[in-house]
Amino acid sequence: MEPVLQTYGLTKRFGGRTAVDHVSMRIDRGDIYGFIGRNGAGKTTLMRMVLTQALPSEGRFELFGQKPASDLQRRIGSLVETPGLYNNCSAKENLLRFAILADAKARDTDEILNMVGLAGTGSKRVGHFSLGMKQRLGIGIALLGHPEFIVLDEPINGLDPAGIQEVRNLILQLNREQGITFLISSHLLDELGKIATRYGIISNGRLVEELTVEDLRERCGSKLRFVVDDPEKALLVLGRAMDPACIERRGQELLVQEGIQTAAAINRQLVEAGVAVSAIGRESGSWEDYFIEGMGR
Amino acid sequence: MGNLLRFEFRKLFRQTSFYVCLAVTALLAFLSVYAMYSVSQVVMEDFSAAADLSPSELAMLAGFTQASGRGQLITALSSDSVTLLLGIFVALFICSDYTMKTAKNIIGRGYSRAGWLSAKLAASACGCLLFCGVAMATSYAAGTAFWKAGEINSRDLMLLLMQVLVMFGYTALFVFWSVLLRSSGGAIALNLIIPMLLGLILTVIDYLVFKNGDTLSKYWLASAMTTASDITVKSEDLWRAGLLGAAYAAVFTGLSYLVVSRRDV
Repeated sequence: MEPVLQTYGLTKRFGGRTAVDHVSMRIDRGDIYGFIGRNGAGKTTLMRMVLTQALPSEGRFELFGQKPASDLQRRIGSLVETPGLYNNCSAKENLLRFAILADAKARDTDEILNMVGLAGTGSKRVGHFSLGMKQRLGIGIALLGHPEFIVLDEPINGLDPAGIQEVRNLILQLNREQGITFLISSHLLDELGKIATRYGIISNGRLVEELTVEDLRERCGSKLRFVVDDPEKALLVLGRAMDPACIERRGQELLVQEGIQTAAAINRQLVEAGVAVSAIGRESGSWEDYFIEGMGR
Repeated sequence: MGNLLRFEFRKLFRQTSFYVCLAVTALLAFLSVYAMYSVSQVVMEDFSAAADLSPSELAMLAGFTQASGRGQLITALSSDSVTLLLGIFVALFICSDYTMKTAKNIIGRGYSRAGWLSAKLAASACGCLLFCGVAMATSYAAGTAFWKAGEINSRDLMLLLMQVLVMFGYTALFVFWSVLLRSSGGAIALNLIIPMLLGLILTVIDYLVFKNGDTLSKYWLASAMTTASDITVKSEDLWRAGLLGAAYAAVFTGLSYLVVSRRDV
């Protein structure tokens, strides 16, 4: 896979405080990379460095497999923190201005206004827009010039549920139909979980972990739950039939990774060994818990 | 660079504050000429009734009788109002990308900080030229309407050119404060105060340290503008005034580059 962004020990210090600490990450073409971390973890600062808005204190990065250069940077659209907009102009005028910088055609601006649901705003000044409308316009500006890579920092901030769904669908559509790569940070893990194909967890400026959706499924996979009268004996019985690493004891309960044996087969073995099973259930792993644990590391 | 220039010039010509400042410049230029005309009418009436006049009164009378559109054209930029309005406009124009956070959109699209500043400087210089043009044209038209046109010669054009160079010096100074402070309010305040304060401080130092009035203050832009607005000025002094303006423009442009290239947006 061709890397769209690769960072090597990227670091940013503000005085004595290290906001981003030797982050080395990789985003491949076609990824929707969900960037997860608490407030102040360093997500925005890292994005700003990649967009050359902030100057790195140490480290470097490559775009599309090459040293960053103006023509490569031109292939990136972005919305970082609050959208930068000319409040005394209309949405159309804002797009027309930034279209010059993005080498976009003036006629593309109408299509983008439609895409982000601002076609009907006419000459209304952006200063009078709601937070959600400004956010949509910010996304519209990021889409100018047919970028290959889009960096979105909290893109659904201020959007209503319908707006969130529209933005989610827009991201998925652009990713699937045009192959656009995304780097998206969001506090709304549930929303990120609906679109991201890869994740990076950042905590205190350090990249704790990078993982794919498959990795995540594996780590947070479903488990079969058996409530038994003698968990010690049950552990011994099942430990002979499967890898003990797949079994977890929690009080009177045994959690067995799903997919190794059927619930009926496990139940039969326990009963035949004289272990009474009072309840059988399924427990889904919470990937939100996994992330929260990762962010807190 | 072409895109940046198109972007900045589009912004310039669509910025309401630019036209407001230009209109106020024209209005103040007209009022200044009109005030002088009104004073001249009163003075000439008084002096014509007087039996004998002192040398200073005679000189004043001569000044008024020789007033013309040409004279107003040459002194149009010497009033502080053009400089102050230019300071307000530059602060609003430069700081808008910081206050509205649009600077990150520009830099994020791969444009260098140096290129961005260059485009801003070019647009500000163009704005400065228009301010000068409006002030000069209004003063000339009003002077011609109240008195007579007067003949403009090549030396007059040289005076105007040097005045514009001095105004470029002011523009670069205003751009520097704006990129340093990044806030319209603060930059406007400094752009209004610094030209007055700096001139005053230099004059005080001259009197306290050098015991004369112009050892340091002659190197200040206001002094250069006074020199370049004097019809009787020597050529070497005129050139020195113009070069001083150009030097200020170069120094403060360099300082602005340093500030912009080392800071995050």
